[in-house]
Amino acid sequence: MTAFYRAVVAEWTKLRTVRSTGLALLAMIGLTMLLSLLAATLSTSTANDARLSVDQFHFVHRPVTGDATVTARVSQSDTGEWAKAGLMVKEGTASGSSYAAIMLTPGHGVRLQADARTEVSRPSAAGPRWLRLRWTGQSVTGYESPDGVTWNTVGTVAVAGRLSEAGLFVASPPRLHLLGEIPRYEAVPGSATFQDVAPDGPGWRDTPVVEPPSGAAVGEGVPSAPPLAGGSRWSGTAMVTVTGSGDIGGAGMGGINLTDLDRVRAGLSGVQFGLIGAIALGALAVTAEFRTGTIRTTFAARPGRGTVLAAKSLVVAVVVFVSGLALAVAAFLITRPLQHANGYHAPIYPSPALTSPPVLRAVAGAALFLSLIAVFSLAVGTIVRRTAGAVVILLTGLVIVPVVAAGTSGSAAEVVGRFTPLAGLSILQTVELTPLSNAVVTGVWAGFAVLCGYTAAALGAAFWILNRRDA
Amino acid sequence: MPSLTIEARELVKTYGRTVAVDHLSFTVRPGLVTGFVGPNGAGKSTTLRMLLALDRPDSGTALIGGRPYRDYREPARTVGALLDPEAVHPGRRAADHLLWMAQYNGIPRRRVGEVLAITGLESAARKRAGGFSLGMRQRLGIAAALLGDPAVLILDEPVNGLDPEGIRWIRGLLRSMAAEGRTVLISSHLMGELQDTADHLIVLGRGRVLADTSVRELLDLTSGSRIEVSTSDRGGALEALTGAGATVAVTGAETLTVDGLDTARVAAVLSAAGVPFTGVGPHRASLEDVYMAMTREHVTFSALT
Repeated sequence: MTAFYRAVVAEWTKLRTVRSTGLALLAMIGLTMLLSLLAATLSTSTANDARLSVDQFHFVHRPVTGDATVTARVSQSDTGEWAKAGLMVKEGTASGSSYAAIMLTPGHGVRLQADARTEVSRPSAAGPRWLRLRWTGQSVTGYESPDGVTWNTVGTVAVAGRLSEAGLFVASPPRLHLLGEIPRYEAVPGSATFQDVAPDGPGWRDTPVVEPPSGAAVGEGVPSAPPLAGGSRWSGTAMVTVTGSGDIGGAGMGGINLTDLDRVRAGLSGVQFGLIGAIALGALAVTAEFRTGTIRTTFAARPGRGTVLAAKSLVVAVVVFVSGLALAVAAFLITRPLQHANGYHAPIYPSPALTSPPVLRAVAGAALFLSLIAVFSLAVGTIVRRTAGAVVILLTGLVIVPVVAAGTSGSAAEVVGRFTPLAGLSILQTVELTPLSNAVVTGVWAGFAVLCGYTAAALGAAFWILNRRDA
Repeated sequence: MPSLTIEARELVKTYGRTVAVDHLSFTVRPGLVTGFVGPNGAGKSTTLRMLLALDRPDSGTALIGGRPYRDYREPARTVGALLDPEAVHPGRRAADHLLWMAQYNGIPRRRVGEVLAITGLESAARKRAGGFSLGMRQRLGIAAALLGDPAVLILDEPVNGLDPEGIRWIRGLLRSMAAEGRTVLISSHLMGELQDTADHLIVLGRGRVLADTSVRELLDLTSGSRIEVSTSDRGGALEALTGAGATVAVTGAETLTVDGLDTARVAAVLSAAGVPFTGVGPHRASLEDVYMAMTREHVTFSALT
């Protein structure tokens, strides 16, 4: 233990007594800050001002006058945790008009919505459920029941418009593909069967409620996709299977999230270029020794090469982590007011405090990411030995290929995000993006584990090769 | 001071098809300055690297104090080594360069100041090594070797780049280290550098030991019983001496060496023949002569200087 401690102290002396260490850290901090600030300054959002909402679904409806009730037993096919099927009463059938709706979701219980502004939810077991909507004037109350006998009140909401059409609806949110930063949505068909529909009897009509192409009724930037042809098939007078696609609600409601919701991650996004500094620091810590021949002096001072490699890795990891942590906290604190000023604020955009667990994880994660990249670079430097070779390999793999992939195709970007050391950037996520998306290319820890795996493998190879080769 | 030997047993090292070290065995004893000499490419540096566990021999063992170097946890306390004076980070200050080496071996920080003083580098302690002359780097490397007050010193070409004053200084240093009972091994490709420093010589050629002997023995052996004659009448002397049954070699415009006759007999023969001469005495070979003769057939590539 003493021997390892002495090696760590010696390697720390080595690292702090050359100017390239300071320059590399400066590059890491400068590049991260520059790009995070640039992103925070240049991107703006109007989501809070423009009432971003989506109103697109298949509606099976009949006209209603005065106060009334709709009831049905709903069994929904699971096309995603935020698929929606239920009962609705609406001011006509135009997309964007006033409405109240109670719905099932496979993953998020029973929900009651009004006018893409109000939402009440109640957890419930998955599977078929009885739903009821009852309104008096502009006040709408939603109920749910496991058996149609005992009813639970979900809540009461107020709508702005005069309710004239009531019935059943099915929506299934589109799947999100992120091509670099550009989202593309792919429609997903959903379906549900409604039994014991009351009122029953003739008079039902089908309307695909579709957003106008101009997007006049809804804001830009909400997840929507060209609708798929929906429809309904009746079996008797009280049972109908409805298919449809789309989504209802406003940004921040019912799983309707914007792709730029994760402002913490956006504020820390500069690290994906700041890692250039970490690469330089890690690689130079060992290639400079090979270049000057100091490596022989080192191994003469300590023949245990594994100890030397371990001590070097630890010192580099700690130095980069500590400076990376200060950097990440600063980036978070500096970019947040800028994002606020550019429209990224509540209620659409959550702005959690630095001390909230996901933010702490992201901030510490950014430092850890840089730290592991530095150790990975040190291992590659040990294997390659030459500064130029190591830096070219690392910059190509960790900076150039990802940038090119992001601009080329979604699948290439996905491969980079899942299977290269950059998968570790997943640890910056504080928001799980929905609808179903590949924007979250890997889970927070899954992606980070990929980076850990690369680092461990590279260190293992470096250790093996170091013990084999003549110094 | 513990008495430790340096021992090579049947060391073999090949690089591709080139045999750098070929079944090399020798022992370096404490209390002496041992010169490790041979032309460039004879395998000196390779052998030293194997002694320090930097290169792995194909076969054979290298031991210091009876243990492989690899087994030393903090080797600088036992073995001080200088392999390449250029092996310093140009951006690092001299004192810091010594500090990390000291820290690796648990040597107290004040020792850094001491070895800087011993090597005359105090004023350069805070200077970056990149600005050092070769001589200063050589001193820095020697300072590093002295850090752990080691019982064994291994220095590869320590005289290289030193000015005459520096050369005198290092000779004194090495002699006093040996006098204290330490084991001192210094390599050189110039025998002359070792003439006044080394007690013992290991001569290497093409990876093999050509001679492993004391400096005195080596000189006596090669000088033999030859007599050196200085004369202005080289032709007359040649005729007279061969006539008396001696083997004569011309070594200069006015010098001859004579084999087969003693000093008195040579003087008598020359006097009898009326050949003028200014000196007759035993011939002393220089180490350089010996070395040239010994390694002539063993030079793998001659120096390009």
